[in-house]
Amino acid sequence: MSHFHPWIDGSIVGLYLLGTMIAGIWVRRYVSKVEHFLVAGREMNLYLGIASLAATEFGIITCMYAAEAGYTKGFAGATPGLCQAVAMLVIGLTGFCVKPLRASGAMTLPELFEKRFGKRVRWLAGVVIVLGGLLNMGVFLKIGGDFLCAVCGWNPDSLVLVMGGLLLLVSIYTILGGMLSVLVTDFLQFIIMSAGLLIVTLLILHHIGWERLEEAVRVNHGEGGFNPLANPTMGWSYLVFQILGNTAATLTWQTTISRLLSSKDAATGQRIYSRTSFFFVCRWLVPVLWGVAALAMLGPAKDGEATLMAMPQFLATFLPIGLMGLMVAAMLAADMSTNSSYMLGWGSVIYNDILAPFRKGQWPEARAIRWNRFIVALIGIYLFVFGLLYEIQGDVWSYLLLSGSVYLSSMSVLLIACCYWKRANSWGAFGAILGGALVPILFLSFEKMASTSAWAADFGKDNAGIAAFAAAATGMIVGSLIKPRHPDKTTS
Amino acid sequence: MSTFWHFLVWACVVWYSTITILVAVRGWKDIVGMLQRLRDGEE
Repeated sequence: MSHFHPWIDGSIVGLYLLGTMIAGIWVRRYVSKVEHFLVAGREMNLYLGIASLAATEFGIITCMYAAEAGYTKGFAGATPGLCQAVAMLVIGLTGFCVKPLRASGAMTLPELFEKRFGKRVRWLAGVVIVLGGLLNMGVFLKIGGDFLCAVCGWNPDSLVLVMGGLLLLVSIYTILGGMLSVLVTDFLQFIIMSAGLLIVTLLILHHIGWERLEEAVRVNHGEGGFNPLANPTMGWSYLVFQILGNTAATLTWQTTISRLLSSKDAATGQRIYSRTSFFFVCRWLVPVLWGVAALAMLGPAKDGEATLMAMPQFLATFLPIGLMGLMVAAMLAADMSTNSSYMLGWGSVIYNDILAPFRKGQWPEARAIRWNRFIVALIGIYLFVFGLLYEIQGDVWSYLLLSGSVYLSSMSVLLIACCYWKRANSWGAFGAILGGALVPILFLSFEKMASTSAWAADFGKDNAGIAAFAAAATGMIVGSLIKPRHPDKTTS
Repeated sequence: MSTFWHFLVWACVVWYSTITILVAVRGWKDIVGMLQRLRDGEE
């Protein structure tokens, strides 16, 4: 039985939603150019950038998959957060790839690739980015709805209504105000989200206590609950894939780099990266702790029980009335900021790169903004339909990282080669894109087919992910080396 | 390893609390400045 009180907790949630919607819709008056809609006129400063990046990269989906990792793997489940924090810090401090990317003035990665590899590579890169990104994001809305139904004690039959309501609210301000609305609402959402996350975490540490949490991990997972290399479900292939995937995400994930591209200059962008880096430890470890708390209070999952739902089931009865409202508002804030940024992020690639060849000449600003709004609305409809139809096999994080690898592998290889390898050319770019996309798509298809599902399970998502990066790198090197040098004067 | 995670959990709580307060104050100023610059650019 959930502690969610319809009037007391409902009022807190309602107040938050009202404030967000007013702020999001109010700033639409500043949107008069496409540049305002997609990258907020490149006027974003450091602290707003930190708030926006942090709010975007923490949604209900993050909380759910990280808590699932804590429940099924113990504290070792927070390993991906450590990998990404190190990647963010190193890239932020050195400016590796992100400095030339911001200095290029591009609004998306494919726009940068066009300068080096030509128009066709730009278009294909756009398609791969959108394909991987939408495949990845397709499950966000459904899992957000599942979480809200579980913590509020609503009938699972109301999932469609919850998904629809969530989508409608996010779509309204994203469609009207674009990146400007996203930035302002991200700021409010960061504060609400952080307050909720911190209060729930302190409550868990106070009421359950570290000793009991540690004992739950030790009893259920042994040393593997603390050390990823000692965990039978993780090991070296898991660690290598996490390092590769999280580094690539830091370099190329559209919603992450859109904060870099919206920043005032390259130095501000780098500072946003380095100063947000430790957030990625928190982003994983806080929900992992919630998952461990669910393990301590509810015990391990029985056969057939969904490990993903353990954390919301625990929170539904752990938090008192009043705090339930704050926690639900915090999670809504987290989810809305993530969904809005992701819709805008992939929408910007569709408009800027995939539709570029079909736009004859420069479109008037009003028409361009109208098209961007239309694209964001279409992505919203896709999210709703895909979320209801697609069933994830295995744990959510592995699915997300592997589906993200459709483009993470090839785009990171393309970006590194574009910035630092003089011999890189369009043949190598095509090779990297095809190699990097083919492996994860084939693997996800094999998982769904009865005749190959056993083989896919045996091979594992981690090995498939590593194979995707290897295929992308091989495609780039081989393709670039076999292309004749002399007739090619334009490099594309 | 348990001590490592215990330390990291508290480091997260302290760091996250600090950054939330800092961002709440400075982020608001950033928003006001950003909207001001956009308004000035339109004129």
